[in-house]
Amino acid sequence: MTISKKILELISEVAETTECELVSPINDDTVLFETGLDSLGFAILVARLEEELDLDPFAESDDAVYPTTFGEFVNIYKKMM
Amino acid sequence: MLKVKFKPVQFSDLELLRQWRNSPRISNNMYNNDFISQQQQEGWFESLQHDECKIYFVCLLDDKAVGTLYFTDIKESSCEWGCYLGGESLIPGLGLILEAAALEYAFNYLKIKTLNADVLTFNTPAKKMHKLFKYNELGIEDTEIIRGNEILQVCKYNYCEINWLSNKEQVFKSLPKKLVTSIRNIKFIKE
Repeated sequence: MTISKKILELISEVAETTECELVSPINDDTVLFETGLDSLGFAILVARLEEELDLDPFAESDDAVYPTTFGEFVNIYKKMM
Repeated sequence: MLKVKFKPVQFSDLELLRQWRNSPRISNNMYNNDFISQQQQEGWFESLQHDECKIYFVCLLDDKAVGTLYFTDIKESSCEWGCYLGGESLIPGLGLILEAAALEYAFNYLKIKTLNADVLTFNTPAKKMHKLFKYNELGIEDTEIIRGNEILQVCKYNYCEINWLSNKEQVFKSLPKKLVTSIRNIKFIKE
């Protein structure tokens, strides 16, 4: 499974547990604020991704780059793998 | 861990705050969504200097401004708060950090007993956040807000200090651990 698909799968899972309604489809150009996932959802998503991938690109914020779109979010993880 | 600090709004922050406040994502959730001019913004800042009932902070992440947190209608035992995130980049969990910062500042620094919050009824993310933090939902205000051609309704919330002290650790347990570490390390600075 690609990292993009893995993140999308987790976004759906987190959206269900946090009762967020996702937009469809979510693609590389989708603005993260417009996906439907809220602040708690993204915080849980990043924690879940750390469990699954052993990566947290936002943990050390000194050089952290913050994404605007889903594609940028995925690329941040890709670069660290 | 996100290292978050709050500093009082300064003149040099005004243009950035104005850009954020004028963006549709933010202004749509405000009582007034009129475009704010530079002159109006500077006038607002000037009036803020003489108003002890309001405090506005800029939220800093590694010294970069990422949002604002404010307290209005500050009285001896109560005040109201609001916040918004700036820019279009996502900082995971920042909204929750602002939510916690409001409660901590209100009860630990302002020493008030009740924190009030008003949310437009369609602002679902803010309402969910208040629910997660176990705010007391008071219901929909009788008086409607007229904004241009729209009639808006406001959902009112409050939080008593004693309830926050009792709920705080339970709320924190529901959040990702790293986020809680960030919340526990929030700093309010004077300059």
